[in-house]
Amino acid sequence: MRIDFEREGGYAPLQLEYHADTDVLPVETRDKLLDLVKRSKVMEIQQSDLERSSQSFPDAFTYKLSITEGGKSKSLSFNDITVPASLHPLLELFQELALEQRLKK
Amino acid sequence: MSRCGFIPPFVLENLAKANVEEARISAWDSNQTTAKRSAREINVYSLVQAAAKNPLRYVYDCQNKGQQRVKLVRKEGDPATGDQDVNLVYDFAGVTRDFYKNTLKRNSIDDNGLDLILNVHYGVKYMNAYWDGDEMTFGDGDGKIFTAFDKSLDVVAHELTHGVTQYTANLVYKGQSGALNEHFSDVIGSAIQQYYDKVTAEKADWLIGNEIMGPTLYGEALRSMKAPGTAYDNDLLGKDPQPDHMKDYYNGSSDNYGVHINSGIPNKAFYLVSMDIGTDKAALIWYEALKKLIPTADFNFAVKKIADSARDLTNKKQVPQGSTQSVRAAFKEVGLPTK
Repeated sequence: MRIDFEREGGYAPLQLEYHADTDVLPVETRDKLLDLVKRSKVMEIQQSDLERSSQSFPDAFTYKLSITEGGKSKSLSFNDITVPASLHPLLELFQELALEQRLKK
Repeated sequence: MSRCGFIPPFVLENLAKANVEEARISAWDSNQTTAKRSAREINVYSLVQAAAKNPLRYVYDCQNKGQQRVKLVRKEGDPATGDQDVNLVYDFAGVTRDFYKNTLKRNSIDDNGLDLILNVHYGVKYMNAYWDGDEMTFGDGDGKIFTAFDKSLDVVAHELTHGVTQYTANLVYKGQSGALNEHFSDVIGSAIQQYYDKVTAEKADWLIGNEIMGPTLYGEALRSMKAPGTAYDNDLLGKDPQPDHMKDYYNGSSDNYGVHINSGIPNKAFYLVSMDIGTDKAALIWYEALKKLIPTADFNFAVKKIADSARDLTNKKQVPQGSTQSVRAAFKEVGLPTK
């Protein structure tokens, strides 16, 4: 599974991005990530369900998420106001992984 | 659907009686009547009820869920709780409300006593605070990079002022109008911090967000109004990209076309004027100008309205003689207006 995640905006200027191919991730990280992707049902979310995502709210984060798996691809953009509740655990993990990656550099 | 479809006629009548029609339209135009908030039509009723009352504070604990208003933990007049974040946000919202009332003669966000809804402990290690068109939401940070965002008066005042902007100029949150939106929040946030700390422009640190820096970034800040571009420089955040002059204007698309970046330019001008006539007087000029702006205002338009406000207030003897010249000189120093 290919994952591309970006977060920008916000009161504090901590822009984050996380890009990964789950095939090459450590087993524990991969399993956790795949589990959250499955539980979030992200592949079933339609961008049209997030149609307010083009609207901007002061200091809210904006997110871009792309997932490609077995010929299927999903690209979503949303913000803190429009984010589906099921995605919160996934976003929390992306924040953790992105920060880990940045601190290693 | 017509605009009136959502709101019962008697509510509209009451709104009109309460002279909040502009605010309602402004709020509507900002598209806050989203599907999420359509379930909260109660706010419209609150607006009507608020017409002749003082704004009340309601603090909700989100219990680290990605959801607002999970549990009401403190409302106006309640004693302090055992939760420091709840108490701080309650107190800081009160300081901000009082500053608007006493110094700027404004009765809450909508100038009609709109209640203040504050959410704390939002999400897990959520490193942010935002205004969503109705209410303020604060995360706890991760405790390493950022502490809780409600621990800072200037953050609370900043977010509340986004609400005031929505009900006045309703500045579009993108490009120059978006940078102005951020700028006015920084201006009032700084003015309130100085009012609370009882410090003058000369003694103030002019830093934004320094109180929420965790141990990893302790000593850094998010923005500097005195010296935009110098607030931080580290591996985590990179280097502060704020320009302090139009010659360094950010033209990229990131951050809604630089709303938190280009705000450094007018921020520096506000600092210069404050040093000249005092932060409270400068804030009064800026606040009066905010009420004259239009949603798509650019920097040049704002400079004109700020200078107009300085002239009006000088004429009314509410700011010192020379304030208009101070405003023009400050903006000239940052390259405004552009030709």
